[in-house]
Amino acid sequence: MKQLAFYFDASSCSGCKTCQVACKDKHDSPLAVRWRRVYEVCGGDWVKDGPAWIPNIYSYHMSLACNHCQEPVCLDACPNKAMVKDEKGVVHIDYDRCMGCKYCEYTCPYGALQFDKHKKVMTKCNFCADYLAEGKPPSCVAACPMRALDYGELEELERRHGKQNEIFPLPKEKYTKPAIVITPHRDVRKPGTHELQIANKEEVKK
Amino acid sequence: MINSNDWPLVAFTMLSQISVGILIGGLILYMTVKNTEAPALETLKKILVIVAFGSMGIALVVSFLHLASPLHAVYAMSNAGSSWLSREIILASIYLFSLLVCYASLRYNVPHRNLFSQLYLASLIIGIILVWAMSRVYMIPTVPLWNTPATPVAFYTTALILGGGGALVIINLLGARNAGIPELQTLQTTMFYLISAAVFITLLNMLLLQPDIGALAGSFAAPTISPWWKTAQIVFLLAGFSLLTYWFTYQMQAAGGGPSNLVYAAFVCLLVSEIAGRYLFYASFYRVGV
Amino acid sequence: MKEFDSGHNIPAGDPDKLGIDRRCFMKMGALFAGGVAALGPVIGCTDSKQRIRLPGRLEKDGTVIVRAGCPAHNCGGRCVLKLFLKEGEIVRIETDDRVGDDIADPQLRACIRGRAYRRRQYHPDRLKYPMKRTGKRGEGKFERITWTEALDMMASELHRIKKTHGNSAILVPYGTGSYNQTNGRQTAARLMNLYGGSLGFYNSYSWACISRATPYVYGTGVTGNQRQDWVNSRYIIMWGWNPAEMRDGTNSEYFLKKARDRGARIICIDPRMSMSATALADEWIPIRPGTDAALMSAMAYVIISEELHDKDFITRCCVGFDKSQMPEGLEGEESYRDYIFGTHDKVPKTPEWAEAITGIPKNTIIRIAREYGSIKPAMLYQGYGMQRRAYGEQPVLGGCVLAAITGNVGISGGWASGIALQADDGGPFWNIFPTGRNPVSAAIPVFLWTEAILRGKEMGPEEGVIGTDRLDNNIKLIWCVASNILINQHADTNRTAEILKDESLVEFIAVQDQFMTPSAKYADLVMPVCTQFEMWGLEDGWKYGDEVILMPKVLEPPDETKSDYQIAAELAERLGLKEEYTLGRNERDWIEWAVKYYRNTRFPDIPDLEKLHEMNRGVYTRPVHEPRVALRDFRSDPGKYPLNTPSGKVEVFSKTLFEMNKPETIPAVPKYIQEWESPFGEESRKYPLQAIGHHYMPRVHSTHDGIDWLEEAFPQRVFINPLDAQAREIRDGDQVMVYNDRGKIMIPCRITSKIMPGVVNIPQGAWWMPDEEGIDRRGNVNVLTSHRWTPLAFGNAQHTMMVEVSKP
Ligand SMILES: Nc1nc2c(c(=O)[nH]1)N[C@H]1C(S)=C(S)[C@@H](COP(=O)(O)OP(=O)(O)OC[C@H]3O[C@@H](n4cnc5c(=O)[nH]c(N)nc54)[C@H](O)[C@@H]3O)O[C@H]1N2
Ligand SMILES: Nc1nc2c(c(=O)[nH]1)N[C@H]1C(S)=C(S)[C@@H](COP(=O)(O)OP(=O)(O)OC[C@H]3O[C@@H](n4cnc5c(=O)[nH]c(N)nc54)[C@H](O)[C@@H]3O)O[C@H]1N2
Ligand code: SF4
Ligand code: SF4
Ligand code: SF4
Ligand code: SF4
Ligand code: SF4
Ligand SMILES: [Mo]
Repeated sequence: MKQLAFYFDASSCSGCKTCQVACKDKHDSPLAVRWRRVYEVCGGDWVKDGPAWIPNIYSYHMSLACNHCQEPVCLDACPNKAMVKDEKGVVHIDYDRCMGCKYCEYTCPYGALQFDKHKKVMTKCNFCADYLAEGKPPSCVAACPMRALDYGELEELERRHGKQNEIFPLPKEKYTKPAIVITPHRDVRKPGTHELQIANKEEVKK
Repeated sequence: MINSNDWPLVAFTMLSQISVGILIGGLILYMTVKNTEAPALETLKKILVIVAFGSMGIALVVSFLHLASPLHAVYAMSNAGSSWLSREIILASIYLFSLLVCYASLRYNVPHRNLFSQLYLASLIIGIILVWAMSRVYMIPTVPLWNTPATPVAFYTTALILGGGGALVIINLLGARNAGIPELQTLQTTMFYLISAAVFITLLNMLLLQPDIGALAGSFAAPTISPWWKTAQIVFLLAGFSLLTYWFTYQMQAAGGGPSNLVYAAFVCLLVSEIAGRYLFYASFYRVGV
Repeated sequence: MKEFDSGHNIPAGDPDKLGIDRRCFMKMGALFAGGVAALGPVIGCTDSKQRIRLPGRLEKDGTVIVRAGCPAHNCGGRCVLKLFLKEGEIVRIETDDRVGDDIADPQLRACIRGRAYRRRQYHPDRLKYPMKRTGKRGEGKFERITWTEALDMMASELHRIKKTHGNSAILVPYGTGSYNQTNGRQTAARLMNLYGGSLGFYNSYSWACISRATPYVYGTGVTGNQRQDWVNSRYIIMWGWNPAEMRDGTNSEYFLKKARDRGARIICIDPRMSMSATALADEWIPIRPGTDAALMSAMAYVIISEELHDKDFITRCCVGFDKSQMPEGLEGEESYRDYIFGTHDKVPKTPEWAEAITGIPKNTIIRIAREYGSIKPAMLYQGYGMQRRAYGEQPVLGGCVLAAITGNVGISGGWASGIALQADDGGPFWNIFPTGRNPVSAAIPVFLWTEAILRGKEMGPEEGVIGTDRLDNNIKLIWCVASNILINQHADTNRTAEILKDESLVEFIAVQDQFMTPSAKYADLVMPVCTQFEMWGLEDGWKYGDEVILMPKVLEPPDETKSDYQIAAELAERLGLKEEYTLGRNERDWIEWAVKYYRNTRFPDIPDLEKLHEMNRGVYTRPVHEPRVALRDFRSDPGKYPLNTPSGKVEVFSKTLFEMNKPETIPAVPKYIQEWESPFGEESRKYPLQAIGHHYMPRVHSTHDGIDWLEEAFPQRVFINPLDAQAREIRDGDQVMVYNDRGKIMIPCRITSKIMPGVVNIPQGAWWMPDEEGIDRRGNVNVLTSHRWTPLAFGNAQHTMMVEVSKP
């Protein structure tokens, strides 16, 4: 089966959020609806050493949309069968079937599901399906000033960049088998328990 | 803080669990007393079924109101194959319908009066499965604090505490108005033990099964929940239970079942405790990942 | 507006003077032959040319795609936007989509601000009508008037002030809202120059110290290689430089990424772990603000002690490095080496010494000094934040000298430091719209305009006044175009507001803007301007000018808005200067003129405007395959290609500075000088935290403040280290008060480990919104900044301030 995927280069993402706004503009998303969001990861502490400060500080960014997972928990969770996975592997929401119960929002471990209170339905990244159909790159990918975003067939991306999809703050892949490939930032620590946290809650949550 | 969207769910889950709990309480009552044909007990039956039906009905209406696009709810049963929510919705609807039939058989002999007991039992079983499905709705693999046996245990104890409590309140209301209930004290005793057992399990559940939110620090800083909620849950639980024990040990033997106000106060305490507990449940929503 | 008075001249390419373009020439001829009478019809016919005519094809759904420049604010970049227009409205904005995105000619990808521009363009608060003040000045009460009233008022006030005080009482202040040719302050400047002039100024708020100080070392500001050369570097120090956020020319961040991909090691020295430190650097080295010169000195100490300096380059190309190189007659004075080793002051500038000042562990200092001294070629790029400080000249000079003694000058992959305008022609022209000569010769340092209001007549050379001994006026009229400097962007807002409130000081203030800014609130007359999508325009690069970007008119100006050019032109008519001002040209004609200007100077092959517009690429570029290297000739043969310094060489010791005879504040070799507000001073007892106000991603200074998508992405707040927050019992997200003797602001805080302990950051540019008690509720850092200026450049030191933070 075909499976489209995103590539994200965490080692060079600046957290500028151009991708986030490019997406908002493309899809006319209102405030608080961020199909692509940029998480700021931060951890570590300062150590005083005589007159000097030693910064044991780690930080990087994670730009995330929907990972169009191979085992999408959202799709299984939805009572209305409002979610569909198309032949390219892209997971869509059928606005005509969604009743806005927000249940799926509980399940997606990537924060991809974004309720639109004006449309009264759950929404999320649709991989810019119209652009794909025209052979154009998704809006966010074409936007990134750092060229830190790309897209393509999952297998192809994995071949090019290696198979990395459990970079903090992402969960273990076992939950959904996400279609994403990441180049980690130098400051990434092994997933699991660690002192890294998402620092910009107010910017990514409602 | 919980999502404002979660308040209707607090109401929905609690009301439907009260409904099921009342049926459970009712069953135990019928099993403890012999003379089920007594008119007062007849009334009790009717009231229990009505309350169960009513609270489930309100629960469904509330849950319906919380939908952003309620018109699209027509599709809500389409994913029973994989969605516990879909199953819950189906079960809740069947449950409500069976309660309706149950009441109708009692009141209007529809489909047949003698079917009442079977219908009651059927409703009860559907209800118990409903509570199971309901807890499965929340046992989401990506939500570790919910995805534990503590969730079904909590849902069932809520049913027992509030259902039992509700039944006890109804018995006392009836008892106060009509001292003619035979075996009043037996009924009260049964309910007291039922509630006691549920309170005990609740405490065990809180102590042993429920994971601690702090231990789960992950991507986001753990949600800060005011400690007052937990305190309130425990304090009101113990307060309600103490009032009930006091009433049970010193007052119940009195004519007319002793001062019912104590029972009502105890129920209010238990209700507050359960609401606090449910609030905590939703507030502790905490997903792996982001 | 940006100041390149040091060594950088805009090449003469004025098509009018060159007479190269025949059509243009003939039209001019006709114009002058026909005289005033001929003007009407000419304008009439040219105006019809300004009707919107979009290139590109009509899509099925009725949209037309037009590529245009992102409105030319002073944003640090210049990018191409792809506008989707439907029924006279922009319905979507994308960015440069030219195929083949390589580093010779990379796509000019827009940042978050460009992508969110719809929210500014269609903001409900846009000014619609001219308005005049009704309440007290600064109170913010206005009533709608007609354009006739507005322009008559403006003309009569200009006339009155000119008559009673003279032209030098008029100021068209610094204003960077538009670098587009036909919108922006230059339109007003041209008119004033025709009208007899206005008070001149020099310098910029951006880089007063760096542009002023660099030439003392190199004799020029053109010390930068073309950016494509960065990938040849092996070691890059981003010193207080944050291109991922402030861009510094579109794609600077991308070139650095490419350099790192090619194996360069990159470090970032900044009190904050900036976006650049996170995304581009291999290592972040936090430094106590205002102490960079100390770190530089200690690095020099290590480099020289360990003989890592480039002796050959120093001997051939520098003066003043050590005793043997001192200028004639000054042999006994303190050379650079003397300062570093403490020969005179008995304080060797060791890593231990610098550790106590900078807060950087001495081992780190030693390590980076060795790295910079030994990895070749290396690039030390200076940001401008650290020179927007007390004694901001010193880190500039220090960086230039470090680059020189390590021999990183004039080579590929190297970088001479300093302002580093791009070789070989200095980079962009910014505004080429001809403002003409200012008949008023007197000029002040740009930052000192409030002084010139209060006591202009007392000001002379000791306060940087040039062109006259004493100013002959205090400022009496301000015509403020495309600027929020009056209130928001100048230092010490409360003080500035008091000065402007006093109607006996400045007698008339006019503001031309798109929004009711804090500055506009202090105006007597507010004139609404269209956005840059609503009029023809043209822009070139920001700092690096490898392209020209076309800004066709794609929308009609709404309501009663007009372009800055049109306002000036209509005012010119009332002042009897219409022909001189317009030369019979409307905005589009001027853009045609500008395209020719570029053809005559940098881009001989650029097509004419009509063709450019038809091509619909948004931009005309010249790919850079062989990046030019600054100071290469000089390095190869200093005798043949001397620098424009007194010695013709790199002046590590500057005789000119020495002769200023202010060794405490203007030393002849770069030195660390403790700032006037510092954690080491008395003032820190009351106000123990250093505050800075960096240039924030969601805004261009104050432009874009209040745009919802941007505010959602990057809210305004004060950033504070967890240790400082803890000591004050502050929790993340709390509303906190930040204050000093100059003012108070109350905003939410973000606790972050990404800032050094003892330092807080309030991103600059938020609109000043004082409540009844005068507490600013939005967080304009200038409420806290000081209007004290730097000693040599008379520059703004708006990053130097001490504050306290507390829960209200
Ligand atoms: N997003 C955005 N980009 C912009 C602008 C904007 O408003 N917003 N404005 C544009 C304009 S006009 C200009 S002039 C430039 C300005 O560009 P800069 O002047 O370079 O920008 P700043 O943010 O003031 O300072 C850059 C860095 O210097 C750090 N810094 C402050 N004090 C010190 C110090 O003492 N030592 C060291 N080592 N570092 C220090 C700050 O933390 C910051 O990260 O940006 C341009 N680009
Ligand atoms: N504390 C502190 N203060 C600083 C700085 C700092 O680092 N710290 N940085 C300084 C620097 S580097 C600079 S460059 C200055 C910038 O200061 P300003 O030049 O005042 O820049 P802006 O705040 O962007 O204000 C520009 C105004 O122009 C308006 N505008 C935009 N387009 C147009 C147009 O086409 N026509 C007209 N008429 N108006 C238009 C905008 O709405 C906005 O109000 O700020 C300085 N102030
Ligand atoms: S646009 Fe690129 S660099 Fe900016 S936040 Fe998104 S992925 Fe990161
Ligand atoms: S990322 Fe979330 S919303 Fe997207 S497919 Fe996976 S589970 Fe579903
Ligand atoms: S919100 Fe919509 S998509 Fe999500 S589970 Fe409910 S019905 Fe399905
Ligand atoms: S692919 Fe399209 S819809 Fe998805 S995040 Fe990117 S811009 Fe948004
Ligand atoms: S860098 Fe400047 S020109 Fe480029 S998109 Fe951002 S605001 Fe517009
Ligand atoms: Mo600037």
